[in-house]
Amino acid sequence: MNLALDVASGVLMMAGAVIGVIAAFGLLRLPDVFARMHVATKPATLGVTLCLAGAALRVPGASTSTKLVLAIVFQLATTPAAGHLLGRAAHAARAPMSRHTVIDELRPLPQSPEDHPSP
Amino acid sequence: MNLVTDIVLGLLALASVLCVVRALIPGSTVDRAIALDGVVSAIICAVAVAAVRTGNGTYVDIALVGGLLGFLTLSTVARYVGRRGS
Repeated sequence: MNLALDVASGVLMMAGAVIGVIAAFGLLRLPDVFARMHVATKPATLGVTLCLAGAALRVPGASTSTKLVLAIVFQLATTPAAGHLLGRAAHAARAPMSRHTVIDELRPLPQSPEDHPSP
Repeated sequence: MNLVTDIVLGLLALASVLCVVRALIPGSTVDRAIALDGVVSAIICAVAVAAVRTGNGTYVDIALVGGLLGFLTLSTVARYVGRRGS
């Protein structure tokens, strides 16, 4: 039983850390602000969740595990909201997009062509 | 278990170094805020892993407060950037 807990906790923590490293490489390599934001909010939800869940399995005391679960819930609730806010702000600030961008759903409607002179 | 926590802490340190490198590269404010939020995430994970390693759960509160502070920071930066841009 103890060994099983150890293995599960180790696998979860390792998966979270590996996701964090992959996302950090993505931050360095991806072309524009929106792609980098996309890659940065994944470890902040999935990586932190895995890491904290692995720790919650192994940490001493039920109150500590409860705190870790609370931290997971909080992280899951706030990170998407923060990413959404930042994405809107970057779009409002006219952050340049990669040339591979397929669709920009926040662009102004075509009735007002003076809003964005370039097509 | 100590070996596993060592490896995990090393990977988290590598991730935070890469995030700091990203924040030092000249770029937009949003880029830098995202990169520094990656450091905050790594710190949250590292606190939990350190609690496992030492068997002492006292510092787990830092993970909660870190999550709160990360959200506050990102929403403040978003407000600032959005206002300046519009």
